[in-house]
Parts: sequence; structure tokens; C-alpha cells
Amino acid sequence: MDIEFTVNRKKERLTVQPADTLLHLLREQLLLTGTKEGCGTGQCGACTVLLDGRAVNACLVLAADLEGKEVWTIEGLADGENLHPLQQAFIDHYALQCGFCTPGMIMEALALLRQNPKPTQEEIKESIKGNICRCTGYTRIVEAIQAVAEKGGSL
Amino acid sequence: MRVPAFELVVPSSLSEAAQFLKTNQSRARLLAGGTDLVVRMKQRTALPEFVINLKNISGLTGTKRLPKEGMSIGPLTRLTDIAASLDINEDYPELAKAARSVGSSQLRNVGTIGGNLCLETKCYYFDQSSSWWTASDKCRKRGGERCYIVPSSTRGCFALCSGDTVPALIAYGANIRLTAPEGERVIPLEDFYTGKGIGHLDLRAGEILSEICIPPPDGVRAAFFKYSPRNTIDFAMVSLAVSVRREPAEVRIVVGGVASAPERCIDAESLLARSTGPENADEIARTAADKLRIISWVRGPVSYKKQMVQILVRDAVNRLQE
Repeated sequence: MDIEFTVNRKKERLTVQPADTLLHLLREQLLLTGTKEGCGTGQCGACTVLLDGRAVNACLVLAADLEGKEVWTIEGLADGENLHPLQQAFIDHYALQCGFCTPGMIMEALALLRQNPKPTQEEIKESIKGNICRCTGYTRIVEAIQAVAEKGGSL
Repeated sequence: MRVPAFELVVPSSLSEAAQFLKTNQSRARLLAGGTDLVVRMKQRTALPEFVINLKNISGLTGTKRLPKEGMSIGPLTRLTDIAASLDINEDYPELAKAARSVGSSQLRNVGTIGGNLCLETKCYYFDQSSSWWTASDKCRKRGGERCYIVPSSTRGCFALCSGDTVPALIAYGANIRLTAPEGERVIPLEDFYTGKGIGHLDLRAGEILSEICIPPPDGVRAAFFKYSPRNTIDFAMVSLAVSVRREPAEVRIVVGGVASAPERCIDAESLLARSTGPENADEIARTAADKLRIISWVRGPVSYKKQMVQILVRDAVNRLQE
């Protein structure tokens, strides 16, 4: 079947199987490999992307549900050489080590800050509950997100 | 992990969907949010030839306050929207709380309340990938002969019913509408669950969950708690909803996550109904825990779950009697 949807502002028309997941379309057809596959069962959050503005696990979204939808991935955040404030904050706050969870963490944080620009520390923790990090630990990640929130500005 | 190939069916009406489901009962599955079905297809515990996507059917999404009947909820309403709905937070706040306690924000953004009610029963063994299962004989729920949870059992399955919104909705007295090609029936949500690990829903051929109806909230107070090994993503070790209704007088204590169906604590309910003050909370809690059938050690030892039930019932009763 053919579907049309938007990825990072760009219209994409793809021939897909109904059983393809959004994650596989992103990584293997569109070669946007920033989005990671962790567990593949919706428990780790590594594949988090924005679907019509909401954070979702790309590994559980079927191609069948993408027609006309708008997807944002980690590749859509930087403006040329200029990193997105969340990306810069994760570097400045040493909020990553291996980096595998980082794209998902940042997309979840982006969804949070767009909806709630001044979250409390508790609200940040609540938001990233679906994202597992196995090396940095969560403290620096929360600090990075908090720093972006304090700075304000449009994201 | 790949999803096995299937043929997509996109009906535009409920009756069309029900008719297709009835004709292809054993070969078709309904797709709402997909957070349960897609995982199970990846695990090969669901291998449908046809997947019926319900999202193009109008009228299955959203919440509606009705003049007399209370609230009508479309089964395709996403859990995020249940949790954020002003109407639900005002009329049935503990349902909003239960919806918030499901999975993670990513799962709630996709998962639906209807899906949560129909969630497949699970245990540590059933809920594994097919490659994991190549190492041992299949369990009964996977089509084999054994049960790893209760090895001495000769039949049956002891997988757990874990939808977090289920106890909250039963506490509020919710009914559900099931639509089939030849008509529909409305039953109390409580009666939807058979208590069996395999075939845990009372669904007849072609039936689709098409509406959730909650009676008016007047004079009802409720409390919901969920306890899970980690306080995120995990299914509940114990989820509990308690409600006290003044007119007509009714008390409900509903425990989820401990058996293949949500369990009512009937003895503790009658104690609570007669209770006049907070001094009885401990006794009510003890009765609830003692009489409850906790069949499986999945997600925690039975003795530990009993203690958690006791603590949560005591806290809920205390809160309702404040």
C-alpha cells in the first residue's frame, strides 16, 4: 500500500507493508537512523518520536496508521550546524554517555516542554518515566531539561 | 523485531467491522491503539491473518456527558485524553488517575481505554518473545500442555488481568456496550471477565466493545491506587479501587492484577457498608486481604501481594472516611 505523511517538515510518499512499523520506515526506508530500536515492545522509549505532536513509541506504530500524519524525529531538531537547545543542553550538562537513549529522551522532553514550558522537576521525571537510560543516570538528564525550561524561548 | 505480515481491513462502520469479525473470527484481530496487539504480534502470541483497524469508524472516540445516564466514553479514546479530560477529572477523578497510571506517556498517547479493558491476560512466561520460547515446551496459553505458574495444575491458565482502568471503572459501576452484526447488549463491566486465563473476555462471535457508560457520579466517592514493581511501565502487582455510593447505597472494593479477572472483596464490602468510622479500616483491610483469591506469584510473592492489598485497602478506606 502507498502512504503519504510528513517527516521533519518533508512530505514522504512510501510504498509500505501494513506490518511495517514507523520505526522501520524511518530507519530503513528513510535512512533516519537517529531513532533507535531498543526493546521493540514499548518498554524502553529509545524509539520515541513525535506523532502529530505527541511522543509515541515508533516501534509500536503501524504504517497503517500513518496516512496524513506529521512525524518529528531527532534529525528534525538541529538547524544546520546549530544544535537545538535540548541537544546543546544534554551536551553541556553531560546528560549522555553511550547516547543510545538520548534521541528518545530528547523527543520526549520536547513533547513535554511544548505542552508545559515550565515543568517542575517532578513533572520532568514523570514525563521521562517511559525512557530507560542504562548508563548516565537520570539526574543529569533532568538537569539538562530543566536548564532548557529555565532559559525559555520557543522550541 | 518485525511484525508478521497480515492483511489490513479498514471498515468504515461498526456493523461492517462486526460482520467481518464474525465471518473471520479466529483469523482476525481488532486494532485500536495497538500497544498490546503489536507487541503480541511481534512475540507471535497473536498471528492474525487480518487486522481490522477501527480508527476510521466515527463515533468511537471521545467522552460525552449525558443528561441523565452519566458519561459515555468511546472505546477508542486514548488514555492520555481520558487522563486529561476535564469532565472525567471532575466527575470520575479516580478513573483519570487510573488512566494516568498506565504504562508510560508514550504508551498512553497511543493506547486506548477500550484496549485497556480488553488487554490480554499475561504472566512472566506468556509475555516473552518466540525465540525465548524455543528453549522450552509451550505453555497452555501458547498452545502447549504445561503451566509454568502453577506446574501442578492439569488444566487452565493463571495469567493475570492487568488493565488499570478496569477496577476504577467497576468501582464507578460502569457498563459496556457490545455490538455484534445481529444486535447489541449492554452488560456490567464486571461481567465482561470470565476469570479464565485463556478466553478472559465474555465475547460472542462478532462482538466489538463499542461504548463504556458510567452512571452519574452523584453521591459517589472513590479511591484508586496502583502498586507495581517499578513505579512506571510495569503492569500492576496490585491495583485497587474502592467506591462508596450514597443513593442507592452501595460499596465496592475491586482488586486488579492478582487474578485472571478483577476480584470484588464481598466480605470487606459489607463490613465497609456497615462501618461508621475510621476505626474499622484495619479490620476491613484485613478481611479484604484474607478472603481474596490471589492465584499467582507473578510480579511478586502471594504473601507480599496480600500485604499490599491490606495496606492499599486500609489507605483507601481511610481516605474515603476522612
